[in-house]
Amino acid sequence: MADPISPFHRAPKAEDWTEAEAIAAAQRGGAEAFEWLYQRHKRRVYSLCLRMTGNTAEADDLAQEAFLQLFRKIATFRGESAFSTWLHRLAVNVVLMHLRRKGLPEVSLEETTEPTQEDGPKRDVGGPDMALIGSVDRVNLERAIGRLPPGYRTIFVLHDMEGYEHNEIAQMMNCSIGNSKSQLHKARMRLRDLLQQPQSQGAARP
Amino acid sequence: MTDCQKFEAALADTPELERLAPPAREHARQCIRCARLLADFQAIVGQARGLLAPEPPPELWADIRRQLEAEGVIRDAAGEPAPAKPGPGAPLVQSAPRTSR
Ligand SMILES: [Zn+2]
Repeated sequence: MADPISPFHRAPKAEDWTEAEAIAAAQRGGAEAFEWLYQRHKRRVYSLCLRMTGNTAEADDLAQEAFLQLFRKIATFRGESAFSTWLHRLAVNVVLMHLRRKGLPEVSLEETTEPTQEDGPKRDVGGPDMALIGSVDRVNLERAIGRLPPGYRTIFVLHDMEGYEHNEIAQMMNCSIGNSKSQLHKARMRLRDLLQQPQSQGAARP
Repeated sequence: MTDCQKFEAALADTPELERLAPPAREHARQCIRCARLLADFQAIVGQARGLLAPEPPPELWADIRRQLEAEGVIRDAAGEPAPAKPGPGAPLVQSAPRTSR
């Protein structure tokens, strides 16, 4: 509804800002600019936090922490890298720090933990010939990602959802590139197994 | 390392057929097991990339803002946009717009 009210009813609106303008305004301390940046990036940051932790309460805290850290440092942003790259890397670090504090293994120790189903001959449900093609639906996939062990989930989210390369992941997680690759393979294999299970089995199985 | 193991290693870099090296592509044409693995990984990764990013709870921004104001990171709170739809109890005073330059 067009508002025939006084010219100062609405502030000259941030909608027209470019990101660089919003960053400059935030560097001057303007509340509107921070909100502009938050609104633009909130979903990607939040979904990263949610998918890496699988827990909404933790995701809330971590997304908040990531934005606070970013905004506290915004005066130092000089545009060497893209703002979104800077923010997402910072958010990943916040989540990884959190997982470390919780003592969760970010990367499973090779072979020693998590016997995966490719180790055994039995893929009981569906049989080894069953291919998933065409049958991966979003709800099942979300659920399956949530059921991955934390180490697998981290690698899968970073590589296959966030688009980081193995060398970047190895650096962030302090592991070898080979380890990152083998964990990713296991994560995908586990997802494939989870997706082949009938849905009625749901979350009941450990 | 068997050809199948080599193929699996190549998949860790990309599950996209076009980006696989020629030997791996050739293997996928000859080995039904690996062809299925490739197809499944493509389905999983393709769908994962398309998953919608969830919205954070609406109160998250208010929490962040409060903290930034308390720390003095936000110094120009008056730059706040007027609420789009003032509620019935909204204050009569509207903050004048800042021409921030
Ligand atoms: Zn093969």
